[in-house]
Amino acid sequence: MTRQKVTRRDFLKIGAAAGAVTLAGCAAPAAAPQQPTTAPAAPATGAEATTAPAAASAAGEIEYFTYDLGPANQSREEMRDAFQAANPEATVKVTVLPYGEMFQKIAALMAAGQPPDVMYGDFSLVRNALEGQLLDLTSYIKADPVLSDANQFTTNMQDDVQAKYGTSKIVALIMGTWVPILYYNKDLFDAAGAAYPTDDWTWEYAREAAKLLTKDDRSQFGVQLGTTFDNVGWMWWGQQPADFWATPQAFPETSNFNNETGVNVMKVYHDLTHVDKSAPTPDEASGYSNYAGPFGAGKAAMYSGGDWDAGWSFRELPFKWDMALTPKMRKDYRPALNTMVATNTIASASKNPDIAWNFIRFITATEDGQKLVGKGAYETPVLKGVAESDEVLKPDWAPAGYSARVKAASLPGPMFTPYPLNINLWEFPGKFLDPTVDNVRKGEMTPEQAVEFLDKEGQPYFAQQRKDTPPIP
Amino acid sequence: MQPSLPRPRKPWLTLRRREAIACALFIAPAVIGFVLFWVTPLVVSAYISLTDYALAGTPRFVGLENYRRLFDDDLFWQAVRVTLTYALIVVPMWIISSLTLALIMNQKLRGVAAFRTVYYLPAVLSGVATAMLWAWLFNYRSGLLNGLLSSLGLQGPNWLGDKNVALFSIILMSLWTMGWYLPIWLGGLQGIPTELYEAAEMDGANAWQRLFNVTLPMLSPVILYNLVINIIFATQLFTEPMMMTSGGPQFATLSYVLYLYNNAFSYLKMGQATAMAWLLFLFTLMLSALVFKFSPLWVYVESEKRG
Repeated sequence: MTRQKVTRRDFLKIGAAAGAVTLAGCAAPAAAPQQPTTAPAAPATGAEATTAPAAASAAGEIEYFTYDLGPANQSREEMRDAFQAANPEATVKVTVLPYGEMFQKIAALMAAGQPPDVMYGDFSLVRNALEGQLLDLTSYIKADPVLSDANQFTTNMQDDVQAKYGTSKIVALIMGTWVPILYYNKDLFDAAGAAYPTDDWTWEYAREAAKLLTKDDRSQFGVQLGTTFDNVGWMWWGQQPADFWATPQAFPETSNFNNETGVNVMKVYHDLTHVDKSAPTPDEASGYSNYAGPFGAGKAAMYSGGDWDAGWSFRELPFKWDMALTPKMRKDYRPALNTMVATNTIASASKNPDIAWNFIRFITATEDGQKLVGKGAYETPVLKGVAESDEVLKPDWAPAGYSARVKAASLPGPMFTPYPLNINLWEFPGKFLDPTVDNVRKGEMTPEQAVEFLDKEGQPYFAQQRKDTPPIP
Repeated sequence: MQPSLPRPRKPWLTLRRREAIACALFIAPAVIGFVLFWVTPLVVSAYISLTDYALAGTPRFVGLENYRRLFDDDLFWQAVRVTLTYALIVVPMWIISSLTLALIMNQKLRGVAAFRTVYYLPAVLSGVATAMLWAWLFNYRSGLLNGLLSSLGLQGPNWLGDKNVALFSIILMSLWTMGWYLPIWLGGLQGIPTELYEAAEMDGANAWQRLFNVTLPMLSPVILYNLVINIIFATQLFTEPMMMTSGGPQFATLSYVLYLYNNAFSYLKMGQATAMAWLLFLFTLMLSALVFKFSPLWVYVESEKRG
């Protein structure tokens, strides 16, 4: 038997080759994204069409990133189970992450070429849309008999997505809507002998009620305004005539706060907090560590927030509460609008786009999927038959006014871009808007000074943002 | 002429070469790790600081534009102010308080080991968990601190909600971590030869004189080490403002690293964030170099030849 001699040079060559293979394995780019191969699912006809799960021919696994929705997380798991039951070849791995962390992780995974297949979300994926990292769903939606039929949905499945993402392509599938809501603590209203809010209230009504419900020792506030980011937008649009229809502008070139509308928005904050003192100052609100601050603690009679709160954190409130439409700015102005859409998107680099499409279609275009959206109660379903069913309008746990969210979502109007939103969703609010509104609430700025400041800072900011934004695909 | 005998071929693998190869193999893991996980990210981050990069898409080279924008950014300077204020107060505070504690813990007292453990405990607890715990203690309405003050008939401040108080609340909280330095101080203290104290006592030195003329000079290399480490820690303030105030109110607690983080992960401005990281690195390097440059004036090194 002869022994083959391995020279040192051979040994080094083998070692170098092994090292190179290892390094190449580590640095190998993600597999080329596959194009969807199956035709969009085409359910038969009529009512049956929406109950049938999407036809699925693909087998494999997809990962679904969703942010933490509290009790509604359960509905995501139920969506997965229902989809898998109808598509035994497909597996959906649901990954729940905290809100901010999810988008950071998506950004990092996108950069590494290994994004999750499906992403639940909001405006935070705009940059990914502009960079072509989200799958173009236009042909899918247009070829789908349910999704292409505008009459079946409470919102415009095409315009709203395009407005939201600023692209000419449809890069997301709407699964639900969000609207502003006025929550109120019935116990506090009863104790003060005040009439409950109604859907035709204006802010002047709300202001008077808030004064009545505020205690001088600051142990109880009449009203609490939720996130500045949301509320400024809602109040802005609440000042439009009833027939107003805007063309949302996803990437504005300038900020436009310094006008009558802007001053009126700031006046709401100024009057409630600084003049009437019926809303907590930022300092006072910071003392409440529970969700929704003083309202959640039972120390504020009203709360202007999003309808997601109802399904998420308000289910277990230790007092009697109810919901009404957000007050209008004036009687002849439009009420709260269908304001935001919750979407699912598919990564262009998804290795299983067919399964991903079938999954998001199942959530949006089937009765089963939409019922689970309604059950989760974090969003309002968009499929008309489901959105208007008793199952969605009157869940066991919800108060009588719960249907206000469906009523608001069904009002005609566009998904709005509340004020110059842009690629850096959180930068302008975080750096300029929130601190300015806080100054108004504290009385350190008048409404006029606030809007002047916002435009002074905002105009160069948005001009720069526009320059930095990639071309819209 | 006698034919010359062929000279024996010198083996390629000489002892010297064998040793060189062995040396290379032994240090290879460390060198590869250093190059892959330190040098490469450093070089890449230096390049990214010269680009417009939002994680999505490819970086676009913009030269020094990120640095220019930072210098024009009011919030950048606010973050610098907050961090410098914090560092200027916290670094001496950490050194004095932890050294004092170590001097006490270095005494032969009953149960001192238990005290050492208790004081060191915060160092092994998660920063996030302790920040949340302190956020509760500082809570304006229901926190323990204001509860205590209220029971004494005093109105407590809005510890984290008042822009004039919030940074000082975080500074106060930082005292909690002083036990981290305890083992280092104790190691230094216990390394001081006892004969020096005995000689000082024989010369009639009292406790203060022994502290200032024996303990502190002998401890000066440890003080130097702790000073440099403290400067680095203080300029990297992040977890507390992130968890307790998010940099508010009105940016009163917006630390440099928190703003860096916001730029990177909230605003997806990786170019500006890495530019900030490089500026922080250069600032810390410069400060440490200054400390080292002036250290011969006050740090006692035994092997040093003078004159």
